[in-house]
This record gives sequence, C-alpha cells and structure tokens, in this order.
Amino acid sequence: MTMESGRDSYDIKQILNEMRSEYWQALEEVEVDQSTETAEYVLVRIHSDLFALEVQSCREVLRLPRIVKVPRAGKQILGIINIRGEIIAVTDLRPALDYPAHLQQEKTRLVVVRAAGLTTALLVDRVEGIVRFDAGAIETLTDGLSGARRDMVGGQIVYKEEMVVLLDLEKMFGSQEFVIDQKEEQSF
Amino acid sequence: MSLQKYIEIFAREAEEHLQSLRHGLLAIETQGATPELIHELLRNAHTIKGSAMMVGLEQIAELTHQMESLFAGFESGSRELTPGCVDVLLLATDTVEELLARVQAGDQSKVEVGSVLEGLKNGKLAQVPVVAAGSESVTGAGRERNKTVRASVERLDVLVNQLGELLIARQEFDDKIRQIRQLNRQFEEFMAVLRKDDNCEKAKSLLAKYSRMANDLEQSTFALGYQAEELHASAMQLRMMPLSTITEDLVRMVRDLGREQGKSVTLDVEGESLELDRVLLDEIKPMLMHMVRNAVDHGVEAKEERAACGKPEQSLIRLKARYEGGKAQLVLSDDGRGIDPHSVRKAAVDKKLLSQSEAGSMSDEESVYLILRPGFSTRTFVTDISGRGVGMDIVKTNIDRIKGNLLIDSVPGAGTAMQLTFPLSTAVFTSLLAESDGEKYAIPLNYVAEVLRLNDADILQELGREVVRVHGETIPLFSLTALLNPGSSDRVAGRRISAVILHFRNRKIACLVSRIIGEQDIVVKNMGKQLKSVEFFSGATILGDGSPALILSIPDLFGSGINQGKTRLSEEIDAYSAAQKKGRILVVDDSITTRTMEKNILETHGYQVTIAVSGFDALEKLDAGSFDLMVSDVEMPGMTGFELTRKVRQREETKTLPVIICTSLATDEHKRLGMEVGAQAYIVKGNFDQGTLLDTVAALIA
Repeated sequence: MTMESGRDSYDIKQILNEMRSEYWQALEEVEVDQSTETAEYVLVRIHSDLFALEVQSCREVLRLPRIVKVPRAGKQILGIINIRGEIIAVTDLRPALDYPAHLQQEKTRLVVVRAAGLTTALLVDRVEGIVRFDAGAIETLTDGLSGARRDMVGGQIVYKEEMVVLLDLEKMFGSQEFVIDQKEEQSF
Repeated sequence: MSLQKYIEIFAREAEEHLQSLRHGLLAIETQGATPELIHELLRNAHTIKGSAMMVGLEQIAELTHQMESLFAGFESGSRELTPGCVDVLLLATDTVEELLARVQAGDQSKVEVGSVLEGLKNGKLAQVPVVAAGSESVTGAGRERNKTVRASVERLDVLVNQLGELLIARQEFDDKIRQIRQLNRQFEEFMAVLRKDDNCEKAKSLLAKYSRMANDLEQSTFALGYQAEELHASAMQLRMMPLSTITEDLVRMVRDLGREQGKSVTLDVEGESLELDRVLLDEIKPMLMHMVRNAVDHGVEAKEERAACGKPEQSLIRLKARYEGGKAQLVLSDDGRGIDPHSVRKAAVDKKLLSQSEAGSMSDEESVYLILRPGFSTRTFVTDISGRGVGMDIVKTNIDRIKGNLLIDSVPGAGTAMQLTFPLSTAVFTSLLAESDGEKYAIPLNYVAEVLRLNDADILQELGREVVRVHGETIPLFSLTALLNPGSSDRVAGRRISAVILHFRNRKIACLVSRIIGEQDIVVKNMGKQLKSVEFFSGATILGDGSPALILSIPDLFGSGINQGKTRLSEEIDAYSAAQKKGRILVVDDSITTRTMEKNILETHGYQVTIAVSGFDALEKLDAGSFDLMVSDVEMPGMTGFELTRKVRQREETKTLPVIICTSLATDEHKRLGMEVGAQAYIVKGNFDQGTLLDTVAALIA
C-alpha cells in the first residue's frame, strides 16, 4: 500500500491556522453566551458517517505521508509513518466500525491524536472542521447505529440533520484492541 | 529487580501520600476535619506502611503504623483530635520524609524516632523535635567539590541518539554528492563533443570551477562526517563501563551456589576491564547470570563424581571477554560433565517441552540448545542468594535486543563452552537493507552470512520443500513476503532472484527478497507506545529519504516464522509459550510498590500476571479475561479486598476462583473476616517473603 504523495505534503500549517481561527471565533461566540457548558470537537467523516473527536486530544492534521505497512500487526494498524523523526502508528478504525477498507484518496487525512498516554494517527476520509456542542445535547448511543460499538463511543448528537457519534479516544486506546503487544516481554 | 529499584518505586509512591498527608493536616488546622478527610489520611498512612513493610523499611513502617492508629482513633472517637495531635502528625510526616530521603541517598543508618513515636501515642509533641539535627546530613556538602557531574542515563541516551541521527544525515549528503558527480560526468561528456569556440571555452572554465566546488563539498562532507562519527564515539564512551561491574556479582554468585550445592567451584574472569555500553551491560547481565547458574547447576559435577572421573576436586568456570572483529565476544566455559544430548532430550520430554517424536528426530547438535529453553532447568531460577528474578526467557529475549548470537559447544565428560557474540552498540548498527513486497526492511548485519543471486535453476526440491546449495551446504529457502504474510507468496519465476543467507545459532536459512539495497548504518527507534511489540520486528528506523523502515527480528523469524514441522526451533518457541501458561493471576493492589513487587515475583516464576489498581478495576479485568487465581490487598479506595472477594464469590464465572488476601492488616479479626468472605489464603505483608506467596500460589493453582 504505497500512498506516495511527497514529503512536502504536510499542509499542517494551513489546516491548523484554519482550525485556530475557527477556534478563536468559537471562543468569541462563547463569551457572548455562557449560559450552557459546551465543548469543542474535531468533526471527521469515516466512510459515510460523522464522528467527533475531542479537540483537546487532537494534535495536527496531515495529508497522507508515505505509510509503511507493518505485517502481522493487525487490520486496525494501517502502518507506521515518520512525523518529525518520531515513528507513529496509523490507526484504521474502519475494520472496528465494520466499514469497507476503501481509500478515498482526495480528502483522506490523518488526525494525530493523543489519548491514553499514546500518540496515534487516525485515518479519516475527510476532516469537516471544528464544532462546538452543548454538553446537555449529547445523548447516549442508539443501538445499532453506524456500526460503532458502545465501548468506543461517548455518546451521539444531532448536527445539521446528521447524526454525529462522539468517539471516546481514552477508552479506545486504553483497550488492548488498539495496542499491539505480541511478545509480552517480561519486565524484571 | 534489585531492592534499590523497589525502594525508588516506593519513594515515588510515598512522596504522593506524604504530600496528601501534609495538605490534609494543614487543611484540618485551617478548615477543621471531616470524616472523609480523616479516612483519606488514614489510608495514606496505611498505604505507606504496607509498602514500607514490603521493602523492609521498618522505621517508616513503625511511624506510619502509629499515625494510622491515631487516625483510626479519631475515626472511632476513642481519640480526640487536638491541635497537638496535628502538630505531632506533621512532625511524623516530616520524619518519614527525612527517613525516605536518607534511604534514597543510600544512607541505611537509623534515625532516633522514639520521641516522635512517643508523641504519636500521647497525641502531643515531645520536647525535642528530632529532625532538625539530622537533616543536613542528606543535603550534605560532601558532593560539592567533586570534579565530575552526574548525568542521567536518559540524557546520555538522548545525546547518543541525536548524534546517531547526525550520522544518518551525513548519509544523505553522501547520496547527493554521488548525484553531483554523475551530473559532472554527463556535463564532461557533453562538452567533449562541442566545437572549440569562445562559448565553449567559457563553459569549460565554468565546468572546472564547478568540479572544484564539487570536490570541496565532498571534502567538507567527509570532514563533517568524520567529526560526527568521532562525536558519536565520544558520546558512546560516556556510557561505557567495564565488564567487571557485572562480573563481580557473578563471582560471588558462583561461590554461594557452589556452597549451597556442596560443589567446589570458582569463576575466573578474564578481560573484565573490557568496556561495554551500559545499555548492553544491562541486557547481558541477566543472560550471563542464567548461563553461569546453568553451568553450576548442570555442568559442574559433585565432588565425588569428579573424583571418580579423575578430575581435580575444584572445578573452574571461565568467562573470557574480548573484542573480535568489531564485536564483543564472551565465552563461558566449564570443565564439568558436558551436555549429554540424550539425557537432555529425555528431560525435555519429561517436562513436556518436547514430544517423543520430536525428540526422536532432533539432532545431537540441536539438542544442546534445549538447555536454554525456559522451564528446562530443574532448579527454580530465583534463589535467596541472588534475590532478583531472572526471567527464564531472558536469554532469548535479550539476544534479540542486542542483535547477538549464541553458540553452544559441548563435549560430554569434558565440559561446555557457550559463546555469545554481539555488536558493540545497540543504538546505531550496520544493517542490510532489502526490499520485499514494496517495503524496505533492515536486517542486522550480524545475522547476515552472505547475499546470493540465484537463478531459478539454483533452487532445488528436497523432501517437498525448496532448498538452495551454497558452498556444499543445503539451506532451506523461504520467501520473506510469505514469512511475514502467511498465505501469500511471491516466487518470481525465470528471473535472477536475490536471497539473503541468515544465520542464527547453528542454523541457516536463505531468505528470498525482491531486491537488495545495500548496507547502511541505522539508528534504532522504537515503534511508539501503540506498537509495543510486533512479532518479527525489533523496532524501526528512519531512512535517508525520511520514510520509516522496520527492523527484522531474526530470532523471531527463526523461532516461529519458519513453517511448522520443518524445523526444531519453531517447536521450541511453541513449547515455550505452552510452558509460559503456568497460570494467569490477577494482582489487585492500590500501591504501586506492592503491585510491582508481586507482579515481578510471580512473572519470574512463569505466571502470567495482570494488574488491577482497585476493586472495580479488578471486576472489569475479571470480566475481560479468564484467570486462575487472584491476589488482593484489603485496604483500597472504593471497594475493599473483602468486598471484592465477596463479589467474586457471588459471580457465576468466578465462584471457584482461588483468592489470596495479601495485606498488612494482621489481626485475627481481619483474618477471620477474610475467610468469611471466601478467601482461600491470608498472607500478612509484614512477614511477606517470596516463598510464602509462591508456595501459596502453587498450592492453590495446581
């Protein structure tokens, strides 16, 4: 799976700038209306569905760099990438969400997130932007929706007539499923 | 793990609780006490006490015990919470901190704590606070005039790694210079066909300038690269320590082991001044311990037996260390009975490490390697003598880490020699880059015997598998792609094929790759916290073009990669994992010191240990996996060990799970309560020793 798009393809700065300006805008809006408690999320699309990631967990957004696959690591690990000299695993949520593994090159991005003490790059089909949700408007997950399993989800919310599933990154990456430890070396 | 290591863990843990105690006590002074706060402080004192007992710090245990009693008194209403009590509790907190600082500084001397203990009993401050006098000893002025500085190993590692990166950057320059030279040649060829006119002359002089520039650049790059290498070497030097730092313990260990077993044996070390990277020494030490112990246990005969063979009563184990061709070589030899392949096979079958038929088809040469297999030895590998556990798989695991190789040469009746060879550095090493299925892989050069170009015709069939003949030797052929991705295959027919001959121990395989790229120095990087360990890989590196590449773990490849039934080593690994499943134990304790200690003790003895930090955590873990036994503390936030045990008994799946309560609550009342809720055993941490825990576990898990 060679997804070569050149080394200079990190358009982090631009996206971060956009995120930042949206962030400040949102902040200003909050100052006007402080009546309810809200939180910010990065809205991403995986396959056909919308998912929200807590903004505090998100570090940066990357265009696909060269991903080196790791044989035997499992379907959930697409491979490894080099981010400024550090090796980071690329997590593919589609198998866990029961989506087909089809790459939509054009808008595909990696969202680098930090959760449960580790850093990983989440593969998403599109980054929609940053949104702010009322804590009160978040509902528990309806059964059978969007293939997302309960243990990965922090709730759901309606946004522009679409259902958004809030991913619980801490829980996901705290579980064994997304951490690969095949040799279980003994500490002594 | 050494006691000092446990003490460090304990110190970190205790510091948090001490801080909580101090904050709480001050809060009582300013805002008054609440039952929750008192209980929280009681728990703080209790946890420190329990952990202090585990690591044998009696004075701290005694102080915190009295503090706990006092808090318990407040709670039950039998003691009155007076300002004097808060004073003395604060003083006690300071004293514990002082004791802790001393222990950390390696000062084992006792401090007079009688007056503090007295104060805790009376609930008011004794006349003379003891801390004031002693405190300067720790912060002491003694170190100041030293000409050396202390640097943490982590910092040195960072330095070495950064310099390693610099070496990689230099390779990029080399690449670019090669390209410039090529351009230069093209330019010259082009110039040769041009006619002589003014413009041509001008272009020629430009080309000459350009060539000089290219030469200069090459020289500068060479100088820079040389400096970088020197710098890297100097940085590595900072981490170098003589081999004697690990062999001194071994000499002692051999003597004590010999005495224990009634054998007269000494260890003679040659080349102990050989300097090695500290990181390597850390990896080698447990391997050497395992090997030396093996020599004493199995190699060296009892006095009578030696006399009967006409050997001198005193037997000698030799450890020779030297540099050999850019590598370090350690040879451990004994003059004992040697390894009898037949009895080794029989013992392995008896211990169910090997099936009868496997044993039948195993060569003598391969059989001797069985002794390294976990679970083989008749002795347990932790004794009171060494006091630290050496995991049985340590030799295998660590060989992979140091990219080393181990050869065993044994002559029955005359002795055994084990030769351990490994590269001098773990941070940067030379590897062969090869491509397979579109990805580049780094193979540590230490395992590469040679590189072959094959024609399809060079590949022969033998017993239904493909082999190649190299220098009169028949070597099985495997495709790297197929090894890494079971089910796939990429045999390229009718073209020239590249294969890498890999060797590990006494075996060789030919590994088919799509392309050999060449040798390169690489810097080892871990694959991050998400990819803690992936089978067949020991890490990753970053290549000159910025893309990552995986480093192949050759021991893994030889271990389980080669398809079943065709090789012994794959079975060896299978047998190992079966032996590993001695039992799965859930350890529940809110104190990190206790958890770590219990985990290490149990893992050292081959149990699989999962840790839970609270009762709730334990219930979740029990839900998620299956266990053969649970070891639980009593005093934990949220749910006590007793409540946990009761819940475990009530649940259908865990109704019969054996439970060991391991606590510092020593009263009969508590023990009775433990039995009432359904625990099978009750161990008091105060008299906690490995033996008690292990015996109890073994008795319950059988």
